[in-house]
Amino acid sequence: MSARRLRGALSRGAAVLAAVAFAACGPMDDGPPAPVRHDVAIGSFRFEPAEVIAAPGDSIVWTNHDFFPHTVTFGNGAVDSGNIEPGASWTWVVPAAGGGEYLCSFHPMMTGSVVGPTTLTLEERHHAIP
Amino acid sequence: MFTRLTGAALTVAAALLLPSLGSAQEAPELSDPEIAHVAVTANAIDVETAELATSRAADHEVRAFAQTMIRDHTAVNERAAKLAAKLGVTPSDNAVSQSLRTGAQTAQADLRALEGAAFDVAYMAREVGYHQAVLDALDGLLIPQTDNAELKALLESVRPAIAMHLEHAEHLAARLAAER
Repeated sequence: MSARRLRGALSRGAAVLAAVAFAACGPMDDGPPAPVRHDVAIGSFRFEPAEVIAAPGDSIVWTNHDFFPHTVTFGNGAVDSGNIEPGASWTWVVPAAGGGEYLCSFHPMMTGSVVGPTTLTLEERHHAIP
Repeated sequence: MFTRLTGAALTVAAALLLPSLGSAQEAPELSDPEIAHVAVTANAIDVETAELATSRAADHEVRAFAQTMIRDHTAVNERAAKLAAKLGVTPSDNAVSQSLRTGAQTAQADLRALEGAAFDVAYMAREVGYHQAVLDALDGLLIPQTDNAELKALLESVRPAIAMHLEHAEHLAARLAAER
């Protein structure tokens, strides 16, 4: 085999190996994952689900199915939806700092939380993510 | 229906409801217009008492609670008024409503004699007992005796609100007691 043919064979072999490696590892890193929308129903004086696992950039939409106004209030008012009237919704984009625990300022016994995926232990993620 | 009531809740329930209801075996049979009247009266009474609290309560959380009572119980009565209009029903006065009204007048007179922290404690104790009594009345009398499906659904949708108000009132009453 000539040197030229040998280089060609080696090059084809490398291309095959690269293709196999690509298929095994999945696509190349193409940036952060697309934001996800999460829905929380407010009904019968409960947030459902009470815990949302969301990453920064994800949006969360709370919709009030009660005929009473409610609020979504984080951090003693640092983030506050204001009145969410019956039938209305409020959307919040999770900031880089993440979420935390929240409540309805009118009915403080109504509580929920937004948990960043990286704040969970592996065991908690196993239970939280189907 | 009242055998489950205990402590302060029993005392308030007795003052509010038992004079007209008697024992569980003698619970009155109420028509749907009478049940609607009891529900509207119970809501109106709590709004009146809360309006008193917004002007006399010293603690800011107690005042906020009172504002919530005004907002929520007004919402219930607006919903009840719409339903009554839709059904062509006129709420009908009855012995239970009259007993509620009489009990409320006495309770509100007692509250008017108080100010500041003493008012806060008495108001929250009243709200704990009142919401417990209303919750038991919903479960033991009003919801079971309602025939009309839409009125029954309204009462059932109000139940979580009353339970939430009770839990909130108990929380505030316990906090005030701990601070004394």
